[in-house]
Amino acid sequence: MSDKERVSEMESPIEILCADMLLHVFSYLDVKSLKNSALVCKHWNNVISESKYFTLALNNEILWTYRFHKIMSLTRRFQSITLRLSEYEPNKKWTENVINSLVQVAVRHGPIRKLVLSKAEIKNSSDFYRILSSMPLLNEVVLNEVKVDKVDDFTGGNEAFLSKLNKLTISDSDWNIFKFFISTPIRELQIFNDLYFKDIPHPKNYMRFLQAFQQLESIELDKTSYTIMFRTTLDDAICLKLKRLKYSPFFRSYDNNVARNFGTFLETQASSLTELDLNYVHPTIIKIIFTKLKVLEKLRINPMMLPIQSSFYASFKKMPKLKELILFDNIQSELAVKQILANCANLETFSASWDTYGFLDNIVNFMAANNPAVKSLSLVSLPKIISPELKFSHLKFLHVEMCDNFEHLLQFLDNNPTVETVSLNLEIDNVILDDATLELWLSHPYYRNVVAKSGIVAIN
Amino acid sequence: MSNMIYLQSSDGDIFETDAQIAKCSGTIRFMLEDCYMGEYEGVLIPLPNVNSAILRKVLKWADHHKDDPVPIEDDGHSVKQVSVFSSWDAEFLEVDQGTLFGLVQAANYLDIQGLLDVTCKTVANKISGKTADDIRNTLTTNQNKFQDFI
Repeated sequence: MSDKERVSEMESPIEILCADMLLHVFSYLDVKSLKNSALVCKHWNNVISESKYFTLALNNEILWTYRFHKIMSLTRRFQSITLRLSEYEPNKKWTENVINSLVQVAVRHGPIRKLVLSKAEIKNSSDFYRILSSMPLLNEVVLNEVKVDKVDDFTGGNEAFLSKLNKLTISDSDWNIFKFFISTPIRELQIFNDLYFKDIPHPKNYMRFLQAFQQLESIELDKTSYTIMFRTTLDDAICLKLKRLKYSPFFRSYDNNVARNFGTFLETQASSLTELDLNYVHPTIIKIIFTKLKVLEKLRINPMMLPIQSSFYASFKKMPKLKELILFDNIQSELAVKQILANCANLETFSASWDTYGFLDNIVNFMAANNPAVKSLSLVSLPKIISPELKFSHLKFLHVEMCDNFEHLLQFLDNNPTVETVSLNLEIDNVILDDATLELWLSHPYYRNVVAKSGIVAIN
Repeated sequence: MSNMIYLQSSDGDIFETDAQIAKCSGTIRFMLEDCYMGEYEGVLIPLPNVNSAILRKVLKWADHHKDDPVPIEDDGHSVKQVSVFSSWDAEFLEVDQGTLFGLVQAANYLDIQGLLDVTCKTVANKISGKTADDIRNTLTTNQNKFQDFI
């Protein structure tokens, strides 16, 4: 593609929509249109295929017509079974046969470590119990649109039931299903029930369900679960001790009650929480993060939501344990990010992927002076002026998403001889990388390793 | 009670508007209520990524919808709630694509759920039922744009 074409490419109006907004648009499409959209261009394909919400929708539709030998795939190498049943199958007998075959396969091929079950309507809780019992060494279970009737009669397994189970993903399934897993040592739970939510438990029950999993360390929530769970005030003592929590919807939410209750919950997790991934959250939550979560090590947050008044940050505490800070949307205020960085003296990893307003230059300079422990920097672009003070004495890894000036990069590396790996995205507009430039660039003494996303350069 | 405030677009133009109307934007509402503690008569709010043309459209939309009921928080019971699409909205959104995408972006930045819904729905309507080729042709007059397709 010539440079002229690249320029005109940039002028196409739909380019201004970021992934979040495209997802919002796609959420109005039916499955067929969604599939066609995934074929429009690489970017759209990435946006769609990286969204759990849409891949589930696509899989279901595609797989409705498959027969047994096609719906079950057994991956022996990964010791996993994927089974997709269909609610459109003619009779119950068929489902029973499938379950019998599944159990036989599991017994014959064992040990099965991973089970993926989709679109299954299992009449009898004992059938479901039979499936699970035939795979005693399961590490991971994924249930998508699974319904099990009459779970109330289920009295639970013995202590050895699924004693290796680590991870459970539930999407668009009945809440009853939780009951099967209550005695298992699950550490990681993912809940995606946005599409067809059935049997929503009372908000208070929701939290009790979660608390029944005594080993639970990590929760990933969708918007619906988040909203339900924190709709009412938590009046029980919370016995959960989470290490990781992720809630990253692509819509903003300003429900003050939910935000307040979520804040209260976060405070109860202050002694254990080390990883937090939040998208659109209320400023009260940001305040709680930086005043209460003292053991937090890794934070991924949307800087669009940072208030712009310095007084807001007055009560922030030092965060000596915070090692990783990822800002994944536009930086809207230089002051806000600086206020936060000032409290993170031991920060080792920093990432900022959007900077439409040009605040990042000053922020990077600020970091060079205030965050001496930084080892890894991932920036959308390098500062326009590389001053001698722009030096990180421990920097090992540098990623620059849009590097249109190699002179700058070389100047920066002159300042920072500790850098071992440079990562560049060479598939960007307005970069002309001819062989001579490349050779010059590769022969530079500070250059040790270039990892290029596009595959143009990958030399050790 | 009328509380006039000023909004400054990215190209520097200043728009006077009633605070009640501007508050359909979650971003502005948050600024007025939390940053200025409710005492915001005559304040100037810079909106660095909304240009004058788009901001004028947004304010027109907000003015027309100022008496709409405040949307309640999605409780997860319903599959995606589709906003009511009035004939006024349909006419309002008969704009060129650059303006339409600008409105999507502004609605997202300003956190105006109603406007975000109708603009995204309009974009989706342009895509819906089309083949990948047709989508490419519809969304751009320039074939080169999607040369990167798979």
